[in-house]
Amino acid sequence: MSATVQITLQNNTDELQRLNELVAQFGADNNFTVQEEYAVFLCLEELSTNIINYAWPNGGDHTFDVRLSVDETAIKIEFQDDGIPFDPPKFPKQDITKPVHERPIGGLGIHLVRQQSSEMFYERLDEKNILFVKIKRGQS
Amino acid sequence: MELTVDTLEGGIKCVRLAGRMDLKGTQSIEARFNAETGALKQSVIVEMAGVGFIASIGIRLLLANIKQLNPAGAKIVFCRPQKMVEDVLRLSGLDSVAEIAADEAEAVKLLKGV
Repeated sequence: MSATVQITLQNNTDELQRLNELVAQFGADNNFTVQEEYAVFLCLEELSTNIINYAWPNGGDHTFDVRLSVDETAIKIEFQDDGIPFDPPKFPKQDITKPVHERPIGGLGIHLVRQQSSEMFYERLDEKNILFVKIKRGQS
Repeated sequence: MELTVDTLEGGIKCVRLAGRMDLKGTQSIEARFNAETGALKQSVIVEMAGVGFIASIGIRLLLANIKQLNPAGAKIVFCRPQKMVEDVLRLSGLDSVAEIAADEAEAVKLLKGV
């Protein structure tokens, strides 16, 4: 069994609603567990928001693609945008054990994606950022 | 998202949240949440049973208010988070700067420090 869905989004956070609706339907059609659905929503929310907010520092209207595929073993998410190079797997790891007054307010998004996914892979190809995130299935 | 404020026995304040704490949901309650928690410099229970999802934007809002309360000797006690939401609170390290209670009675005890 395998299935794939793809969506092109504009660089506008209002688009996240459309993405969420698509994913909720895709998850229901493919029997995502509660944990799997949560992990997918979280990865999509964090990484799409990063693209929308940071990929095009000069603003303007742009689009990016999100592709979701699933089989028995894993859910894979692929993001493609033509914004400035950004390699999330190389983003510095967060120290969440620091005392409260030393804790930065930002930078948690990628930390959470790392926690919820089993693999993250980035490449820059033809002036595009291509990011793959894999969430293994059958985990508790 | 929805935000309601209750006063429990002994005058303890409880802010109840419901909905998805994603970008849109968090932005919809941010100003009221700040006004009802961090700005008041008083310990408060934040009841989360109705929150089905939290992303980093939601964690940031919670952490910013914990940081605001901390120097005043006040704190937030989180109450009844759903399993996945509690996991994200812990994965974000919020459990090392705030306590998480399984029910309201425990939250009141933790808030009073007894």
